[in-house]
Amino acid sequence: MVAGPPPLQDPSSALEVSVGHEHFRNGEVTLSVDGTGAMRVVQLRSGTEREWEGRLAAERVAALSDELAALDLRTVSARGGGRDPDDDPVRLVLRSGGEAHEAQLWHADRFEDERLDRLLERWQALTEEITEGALPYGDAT
Amino acid sequence: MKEQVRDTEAAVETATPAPVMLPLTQHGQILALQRSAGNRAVARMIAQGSVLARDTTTVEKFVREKTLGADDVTWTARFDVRFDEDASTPTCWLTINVKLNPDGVTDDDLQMCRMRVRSRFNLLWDSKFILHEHRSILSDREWLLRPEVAFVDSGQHLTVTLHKGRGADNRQNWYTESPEYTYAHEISHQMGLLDEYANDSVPDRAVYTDHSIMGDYYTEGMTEAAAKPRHGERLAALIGAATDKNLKSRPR
Repeated sequence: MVAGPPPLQDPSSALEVSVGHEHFRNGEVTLSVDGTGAMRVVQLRSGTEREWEGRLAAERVAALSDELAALDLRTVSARGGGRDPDDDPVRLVLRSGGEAHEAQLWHADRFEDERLDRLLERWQALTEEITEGALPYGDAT
Repeated sequence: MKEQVRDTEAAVETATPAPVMLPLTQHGQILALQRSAGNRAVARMIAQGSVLARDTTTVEKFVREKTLGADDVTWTARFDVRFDEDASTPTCWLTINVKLNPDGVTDDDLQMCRMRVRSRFNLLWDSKFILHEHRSILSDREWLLRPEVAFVDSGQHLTVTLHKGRGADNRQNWYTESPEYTYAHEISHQMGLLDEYANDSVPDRAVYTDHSIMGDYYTEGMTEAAAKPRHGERLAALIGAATDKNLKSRPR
């Protein structure tokens, strides 16, 4: 068990979730949220980057912090073994107080791990909100 | 009538096999049975369908793509093949049995998914290739390759969970709002076909940008995605190895 401060509790803390392959579907889609509520989505598709920005109100940052803390993301890990074709890599980074926790995960593990499933649901919902539905699974190929 | 059936079955079981060196064709098997069991018995068997029952072979192939990471891409391709030489065009049926499990979706969602999968898969794969069978003693022959997807409740080659909404499909997890080309792409893996889009963590992958259904059809154009001659060649190799036939593929 790796304990750590709750995510997004101070302005310098941040959550970063990247999902996808650069050369398939809508590419690699990275959502970043920091403790100030600043949000950014970066799409990397076949060498081209596109960027969207947004902001969460303070109460939504607090709610997101509670939600992420309940998921205890520092203990989420990948299921070992072979991966099905087209499974998307998931990179999770939690930054706080100058330290970073990073985990390499897989999208399909969400079906076995409810915490990862909830994290990816949040990633998808926030990404759709910032990009107005273009990402992660809209028409922004 | 029951007596006749029993007689027929007995005749089949006790029939003396014809002395042949190679597996007989269906026509050859019937001739051999006619010699041993008699014309009338064989006519009865044909009427009952017992002579025309075709052998089905399950093709199975473990596939591995080496990656730079800790986990390789692996899966087992599995499907049935059945050669029907009595069809108006001799046909190799390739059948993938899929069990579709619901995850928070309705019966209508399941039904719609089944329809979309079968229609797109058929458009992409049905009757696109001819398998040429080279035989060393008998003359060569050709088979029309007809891949199909059958949705089943048991005896599946592949189990897929259907999830609501949009998401990242893979071979075993599909989403209701995914493009039907993606269903076809995913199920094509079940025939042993490899991904053909670039992936930095799979450096040995053969990447093609020729509108392949296994490639990056998202940017190349979905409606232009198609099965390629190399796919037919791979299927011919897999089917040939499993059925002990010397098969080569060519586009129809």
